[in-house]
Amino acid sequence: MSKETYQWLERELPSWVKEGLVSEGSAQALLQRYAGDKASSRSSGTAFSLLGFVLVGLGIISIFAYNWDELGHLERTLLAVLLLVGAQAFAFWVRRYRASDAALREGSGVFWFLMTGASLAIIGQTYHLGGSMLDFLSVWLVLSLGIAWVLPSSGAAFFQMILWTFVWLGSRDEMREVFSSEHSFLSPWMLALLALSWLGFYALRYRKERNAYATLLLGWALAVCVLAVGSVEMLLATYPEQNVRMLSMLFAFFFAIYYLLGKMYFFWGEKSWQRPFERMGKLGALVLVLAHVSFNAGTWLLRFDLEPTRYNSLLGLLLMLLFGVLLILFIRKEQKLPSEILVCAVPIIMLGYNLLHTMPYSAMLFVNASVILGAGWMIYCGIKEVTLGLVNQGMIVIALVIWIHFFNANFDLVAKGMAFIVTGILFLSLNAFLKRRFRGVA
Amino acid sequence: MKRMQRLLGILFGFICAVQLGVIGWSIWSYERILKEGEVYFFNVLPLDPYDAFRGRYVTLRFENANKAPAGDTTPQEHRSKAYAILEHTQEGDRIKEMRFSKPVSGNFLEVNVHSTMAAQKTDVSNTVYFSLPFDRFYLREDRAPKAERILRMRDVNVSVKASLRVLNGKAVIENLWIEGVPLVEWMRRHEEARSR
Repeated sequence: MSKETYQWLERELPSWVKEGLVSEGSAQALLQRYAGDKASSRSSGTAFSLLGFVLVGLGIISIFAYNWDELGHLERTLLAVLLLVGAQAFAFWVRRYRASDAALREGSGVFWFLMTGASLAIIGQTYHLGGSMLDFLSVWLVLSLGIAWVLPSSGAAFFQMILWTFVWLGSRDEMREVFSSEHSFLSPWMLALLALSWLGFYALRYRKERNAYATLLLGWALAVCVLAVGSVEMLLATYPEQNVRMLSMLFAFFFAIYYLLGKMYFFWGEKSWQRPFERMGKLGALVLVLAHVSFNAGTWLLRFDLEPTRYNSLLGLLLMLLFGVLLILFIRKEQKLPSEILVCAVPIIMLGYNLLHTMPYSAMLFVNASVILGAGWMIYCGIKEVTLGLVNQGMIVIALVIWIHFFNANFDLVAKGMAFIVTGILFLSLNAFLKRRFRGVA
Repeated sequence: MKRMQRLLGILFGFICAVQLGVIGWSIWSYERILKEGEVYFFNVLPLDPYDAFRGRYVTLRFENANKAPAGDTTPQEHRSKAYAILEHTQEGDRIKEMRFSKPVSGNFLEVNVHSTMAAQKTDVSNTVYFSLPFDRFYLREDRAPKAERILRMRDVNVSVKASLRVLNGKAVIENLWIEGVPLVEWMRRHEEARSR
């Protein structure tokens, strides 16, 4: 339960007792039942502690990256050991004597994680060790494994996730030029096993303290890392054949899956920032479909149609199956046509668009009609459900479609400026009108 | 619950021990190489890049240390590691030959074999292409770019050498030398001469 909901419950319960809806004992039991959740979500202190330790840790790494050549081997190696032992000792003290202080526990985990990296960096520079950045990050990843578990510290798990993602991406053969690295000594299977460590930690946090800010932080890290890994894997799967149409299909499935997962399972509250999967999925799906509304997009894609597009990717099949299952579950749960049907339907729209590729005008008309219909449905649902946000969302999508066509056309700057002013005034007046109407309904 | 806490406590100790063990073992093994290893000098060409965690360094491009004749007949396909046999000669230190089986004595260095280049060249010669496992010399942040600038401007006849300490197949770069003077000292003299 979020802090706000708990406070609401605290306020409401006395009147419920007075009205005889619940007994005094039940009211107390209810408050006790959710008190733990409330405590875990009081995390502004934790956030500042995390930030503080991260800054101190990065500062130390930065200071030693200066390479103080006034320090001899002995001083440097002593420093490396002292930093690590200091961080371990601090984490031990927190675990033993201040285990209930979440802010300190999270901070000490992050500090320990960073000092492990700092020690390795000092050793590397002292002995002029070769090897790429990927080697360094791989050793760091392995040595810092388990820090999140033993404290426990979501902050350390957050950095583990980020580090793991870098190592995974850097280990891909095709990415070696980007990271200017050789192979990591960690094989893909070993990396997959290492991922189980932070995935397991995340699952535990999710089960124990779903609404805590630390769990939400891990949720964001998970969403960003899976997006990064997924994007690269999809790019690599389609790159050899320059299969851009297949790539757009894969991304459409991926974003729709993200959205559906975020709607049904991976959310930590009602606010936008508490729903990373849903927000990323929605944004990605809308950007993808809007990128195809102009006629220029169709003609640009034609240059990749020298060979017939093949839809034979295993990754594509897996994503399609997952999307199908999630869509059925979502419709069953909602029991009605979802208001954001446009986001769910992006894979179908993209499939139709790509199948019509021999007729560019028909393809463009299909995608435009789909987007306008989907956005129109959003506006209709928004008015019906008295949700101004949904109405605005639909209007923004329609406005974007109009602007894209307007900018593709050869109109002068005055005409383009007028288009902005007219749509702006339309937005403002419609918002004012709907606000008044919604107030009347309320 | 208590058992779980005890288990986490043991895990805590294990992680600390592994971390300290890895760091301590690294220090011990590199210090041993520096203390007991034989010194070899190789000509190098330094360049100045940057590492976000370990700071500035000069990349060392070792001259005459990227290919050598194969010294044994062990099949070399799909081998990623080989051993460079080092020797002192009157012209300077050099890599005498490459072996794919680990030598039992003498001074040798474990290197990374470039399999693609080796495959391309095997039909025309018995040469093994490889890279040394180190290519960095870390310097103070303000000194590395200066070092590279000075070294780029230098007279082509001035020799820049890296001294390596080699022991049991492993090596550590000990120092960079310009005309027999350590790089940092040489830079100090160079700057003093310029200011005069």
